[in-house]
Amino acid sequence: MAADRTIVQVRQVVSLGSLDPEAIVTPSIFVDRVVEITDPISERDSLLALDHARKEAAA
Amino acid sequence: MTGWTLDQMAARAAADIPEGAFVNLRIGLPERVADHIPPDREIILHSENGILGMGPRPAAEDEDMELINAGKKPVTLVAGGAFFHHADSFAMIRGAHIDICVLGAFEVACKVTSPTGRAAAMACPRSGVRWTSLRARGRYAC
Repeated sequence: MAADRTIVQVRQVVSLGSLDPEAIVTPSIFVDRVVEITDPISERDSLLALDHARKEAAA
Repeated sequence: MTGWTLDQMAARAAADIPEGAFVNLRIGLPERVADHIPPDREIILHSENGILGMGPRPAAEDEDMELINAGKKPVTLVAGGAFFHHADSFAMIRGAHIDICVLGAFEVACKVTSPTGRAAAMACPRSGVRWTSLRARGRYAC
């Protein structure tokens, strides 16, 4: 609400009117840009993979 | 010169609103602007009781008193509209996210010296409530 520009990452863009008006948490008025990333890399997964790779290298 | 009807005034104000604007309509005559938004223009109406995407007045048989504007009159919701908390609604206003606010005014000075013009004290005749300030990034249409 206080930012000059707000960029939102979403998994899916749906057709106009398909979201329940009662369920919208961040209305469009607060959003300047939308970036669709359908299968985002989980930070937790990438850290676990890195950890695993380090252990493999040490062994 | 004959005066304008209320609907003519509302249509004239609506015609001035540019594509893509977020617009708050104050209580009273400005509420009618919702009925005169040009159909080919995407204008998002905000009502401070917690609506973005407010539409025109419904037909009498479609009135739903759970869906009302800030003036307690039944309205509709356009596709993609959203409901939210009163506090969020005022955060939109105070955070200057609203582009235009349409105010009713009893009198407006003919010699305008500021971009917002000079309007006399505004009041809602039904309740006597005075609304004197609403922070909007754009201009005021009276």
